Amino acid sequence: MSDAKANEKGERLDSNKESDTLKTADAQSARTASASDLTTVEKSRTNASDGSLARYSSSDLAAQEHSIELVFGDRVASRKDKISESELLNQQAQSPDNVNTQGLESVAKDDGVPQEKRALASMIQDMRAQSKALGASTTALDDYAREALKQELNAVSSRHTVDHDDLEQCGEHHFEPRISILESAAPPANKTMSPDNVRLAQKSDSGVTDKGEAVKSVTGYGDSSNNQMSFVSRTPEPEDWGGVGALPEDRQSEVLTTAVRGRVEHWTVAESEERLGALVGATEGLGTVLQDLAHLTDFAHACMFGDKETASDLGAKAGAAVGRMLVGEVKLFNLSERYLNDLGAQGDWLKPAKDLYNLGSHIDKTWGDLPAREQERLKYQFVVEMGAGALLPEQAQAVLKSGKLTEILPNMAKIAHKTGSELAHAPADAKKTVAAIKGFFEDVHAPEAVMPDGRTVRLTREIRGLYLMSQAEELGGAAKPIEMLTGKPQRGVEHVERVFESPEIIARFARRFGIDIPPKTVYFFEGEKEAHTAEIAARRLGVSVEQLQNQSEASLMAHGLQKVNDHRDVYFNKYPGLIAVADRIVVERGVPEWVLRDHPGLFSAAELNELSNLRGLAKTEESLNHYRNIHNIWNQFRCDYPDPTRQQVLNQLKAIDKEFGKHFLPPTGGH
Amino acid sequence: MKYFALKAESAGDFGINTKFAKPPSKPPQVQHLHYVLDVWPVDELLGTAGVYIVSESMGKRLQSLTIPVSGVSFEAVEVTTSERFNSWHSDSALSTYKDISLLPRYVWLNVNGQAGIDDFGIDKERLVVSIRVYTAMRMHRLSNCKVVDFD
Repeated sequence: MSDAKANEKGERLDSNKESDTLKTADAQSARTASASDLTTVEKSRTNASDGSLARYSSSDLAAQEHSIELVFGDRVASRKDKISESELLNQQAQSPDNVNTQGLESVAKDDGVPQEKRALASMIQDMRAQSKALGASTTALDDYAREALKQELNAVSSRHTVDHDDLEQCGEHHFEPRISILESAAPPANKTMSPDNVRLAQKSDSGVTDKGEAVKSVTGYGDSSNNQMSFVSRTPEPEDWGGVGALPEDRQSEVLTTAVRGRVEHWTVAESEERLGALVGATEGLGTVLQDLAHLTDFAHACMFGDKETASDLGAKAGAAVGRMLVGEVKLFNLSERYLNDLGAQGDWLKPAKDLYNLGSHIDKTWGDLPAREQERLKYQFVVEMGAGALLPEQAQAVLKSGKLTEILPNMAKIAHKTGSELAHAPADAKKTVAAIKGFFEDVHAPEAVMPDGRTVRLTREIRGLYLMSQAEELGGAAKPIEMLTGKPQRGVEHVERVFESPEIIARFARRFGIDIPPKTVYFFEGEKEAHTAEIAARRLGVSVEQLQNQSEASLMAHGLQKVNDHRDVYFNKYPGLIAVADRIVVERGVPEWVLRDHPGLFSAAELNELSNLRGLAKTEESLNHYRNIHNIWNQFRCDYPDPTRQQVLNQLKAIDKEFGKHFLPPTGGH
Repeated sequence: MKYFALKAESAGDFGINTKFAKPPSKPPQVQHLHYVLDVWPVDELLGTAGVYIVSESMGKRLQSLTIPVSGVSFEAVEVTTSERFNSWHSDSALSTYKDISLLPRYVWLNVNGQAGIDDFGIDKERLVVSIRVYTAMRMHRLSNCKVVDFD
């Protein structure tokens, strides 16, 4: 206990002193205050919260959002931008290709770096600062920086590592253990975090008990003896849920509802851990359990009160929590429903059980409110990113067919976990599962922006990334964006408008993957199977490209030439949601192109490049084996039918679709 | 002598540099073979539409049999990779990545023998080989090759 606290306690125990104090005029006035006095005082408060999340309302929470901010490096942690200290330090200290303001600044000032790269680093640095100031995620921007400035950032990173090692050898290592600020009530003088970096922007309302809780739960900074903060002193791991996942279902339900109840009723960490420890039989990982359920509880309350803005703010945290629980084999949504219905949660346990149940209902409703096409897009994107179509077709099908998000998520966990462990070159562990579900959850709960024409557009990670990347490319370091996407509905309109106003921006994004919107034209010569660009076709005909392009179809046919849309472009124009993962998809033709060469006239090139003849395959070992098999089947067909009819070819296609259709993206052949 | 009919793995197709003899026939009579790989091959015997190639090492083994094999001439083949091949195998971040420098060299089995009589022959575009040739081939990778007795 700190000296200050000891003194405070000592003063309370001094009854005489207290009695004297109560006899003063001010104290008597306060004790006998009228209702109008209380109303006047209440009105003067800048923070309307009474401090209880149990009586949560959006205005309360909004008022607290800036009550305390901790500035740490280039990050400001607050309720608006929650991040645990360990997460933050992990990002800063462990990522070899870490992107941060200092790294970008170093690149921008490095004379050895080409001028255009320095300008780009400077611009991205400014964009990050603006983005953070507006509360938007910098993930997409960081990804872009990593891509565009990979070598430069790695060089800076390695230099920092060397410097850091040198300091350690000299005994001047000032980087305190990352749990240091979790352990004490005030930052000791010898901590790395200087007083300048701690900005306590407390507003008046000293009576709000959870005023600092938002920050405390993020940073763990404050009095650890009597609050709900500092659940975890390190990065939460999916394995932390393993102990809970191993319990019988009814016991798992008790753990969940106990943690939720602790959050709602403001139990201390010690009390929560004691109760949970008794249920789980161990204390390892309980910090993560408490933190995750705290996030879910806050998220559930925001959802219940219809506070979409806060819900979208908390979406990523809640998604990560759900991901960790699913990886830990805790069937959150099934358990809460069963506990409520079958096991009969009663009394004090009824509300937390209902909270969890309502959370499941809410996210299903949110999912159900999304347009069907958007649901499909999100599901397909996930399945492709995980390569699940080939590796776990049953689970992939379950994801693609499920109507409820609470049914989709567990299958996603299975897919991501399985693919992560089997794909040799993919990030292979449960963390990827958590990240994937977190991102998916974040997108589902992304805020909406209303377009001038009344359409609503959700500001998903892809849309935000699209905008940021387009800005970075467009500006080329010469200018700076006026504003960044904020991720907030009220600020999103003009930005989304700018993204969608210009098909150029979307087209430029697609071109990064070699895709044209609309599809580019290619040319097939009769009796050949290869598609040619306009330049090659024109050269072979001995005309200019312009002359070729101006020729009518009949004229082209007279030259034995067919003009068609590029098959890959056709596919991705139809499924634009997959453009972001286009480099992980091979687009094959159902009826193979050698039919054009070996059996001229049986099919046209246009038919072969139609969407109905295109089959997407994720680039995985499993898909590759399917492709080999299909290749061999067609080769056997060539041997068996030296002069096939059109119908025989279509029958063979149908048979292949029936056998392999479930592995395609999207599935075909009745799948 | 016992003979086997082989349905070899197909990992590619004829390339544009292939020169076919005229008039067209089934299986095609080839004067110069250009084989374009669409996918990384598993086996050391590959075929497409009745035309076959083998890895250089398998070719050397077959050519070094004590009694020279009949019904075939071992000729050069031009082997390239298609865009599709590159699409599957060029991204080093993916599990389907392959180092193209590890791709074996190939020789073309220009088969001109009679199936069931010579060591090499063609029947219904399948490669028919004698048991001694098959035994030699089995010392190389043939996991995707379907083999049936040839009567």
